[in-house]
Amino acid sequence: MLNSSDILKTINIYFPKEISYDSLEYKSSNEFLSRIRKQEEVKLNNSYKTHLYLGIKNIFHKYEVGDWTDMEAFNCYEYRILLHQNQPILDDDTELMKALEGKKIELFLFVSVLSKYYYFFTNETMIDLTSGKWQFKKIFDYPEKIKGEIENLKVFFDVDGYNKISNDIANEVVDNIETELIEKNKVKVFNCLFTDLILI
Amino acid sequence: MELHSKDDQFDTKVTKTLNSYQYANGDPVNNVDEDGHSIFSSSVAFLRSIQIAAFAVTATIALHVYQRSVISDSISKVSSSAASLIKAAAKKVTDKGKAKGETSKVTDRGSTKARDIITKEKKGAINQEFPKEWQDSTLNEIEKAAKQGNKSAQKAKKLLNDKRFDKGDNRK
Repeated sequence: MLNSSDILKTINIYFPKEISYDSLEYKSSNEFLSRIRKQEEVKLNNSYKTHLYLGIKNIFHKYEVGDWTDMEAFNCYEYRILLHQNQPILDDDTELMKALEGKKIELFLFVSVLSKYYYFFTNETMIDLTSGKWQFKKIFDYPEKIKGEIENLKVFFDVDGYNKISNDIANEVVDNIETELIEKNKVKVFNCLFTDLILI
Repeated sequence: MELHSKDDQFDTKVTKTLNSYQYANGDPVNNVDEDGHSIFSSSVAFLRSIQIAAFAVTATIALHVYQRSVISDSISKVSSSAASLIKAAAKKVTDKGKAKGETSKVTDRGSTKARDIITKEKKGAINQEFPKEWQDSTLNEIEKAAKQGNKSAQKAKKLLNDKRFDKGDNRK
């Protein structure tokens, strides 16, 4: 069972405390430089990226898997799995929403590059096709219909030594840490291990 | 001075000699015999030379006028083709200008509101994380606030520049 203190130790290796992100001190800190080095290492490891992507694609073979990884900016591999069978991902997401009659369900999957942790949640997108108004909802669970795939995903990550972060731990606020996009004392474990562009 | 052939208009009444091979009646200073058949005094020759000169001037003027008309015609022809060229060039410049205008409209992203950039360039999915408070601000305003350390402005800026949310970016 994962405990947050181990995760916090990991976070402390890569995030300096009590220093403003925009300062030179932050950018020259050992923690920040370690993080950059880690990202660089991972960027060079294309074989693991391919292994990960193909593994996930294989598990979710009934669905389309989009690779949303942006290693330049964030600390994770990121995938969006469209949980609608026989529906390709379209270039224009409004067209995709039309094809899905206004409601899209995806699994957002994050795999940390800082340490062996992963996390996912279900994301619902709705659009009023008349007004064009978008609505979004994060559900911190997975739909029953992908239970088998989630079990296979766990096995896949177990083999590679990865642990899933629980919702409680993901939502824990990390004190005195600031990221590029989130102010001090609002940063959560999820933002440190994966991305600070998405709020949970 | 003697002629090489006999002067058939030789008039003994006005000549001082019977030598029909003689040039200008033996007085080349006062007389001229241009074609070798008659003699004229120098004054007549002078008048004739004026006539010739006048003719020459007239001819020159006529030629000049002709040339001018030809040149003018040519100029007008050249002008007309030059005008077409200039027109074509001007059109090109105008078109380029228009294109530039369009480009500058496209590249004038800074003064465009975030909401409009999103509608035009981004996938609807961006709206999930885009900070609401910056939707009606221009990119320049967002960038300025981001520079001053405003975190939500930094997030807005990052999202607007995030290629993953570009329309047509089909991630697979």
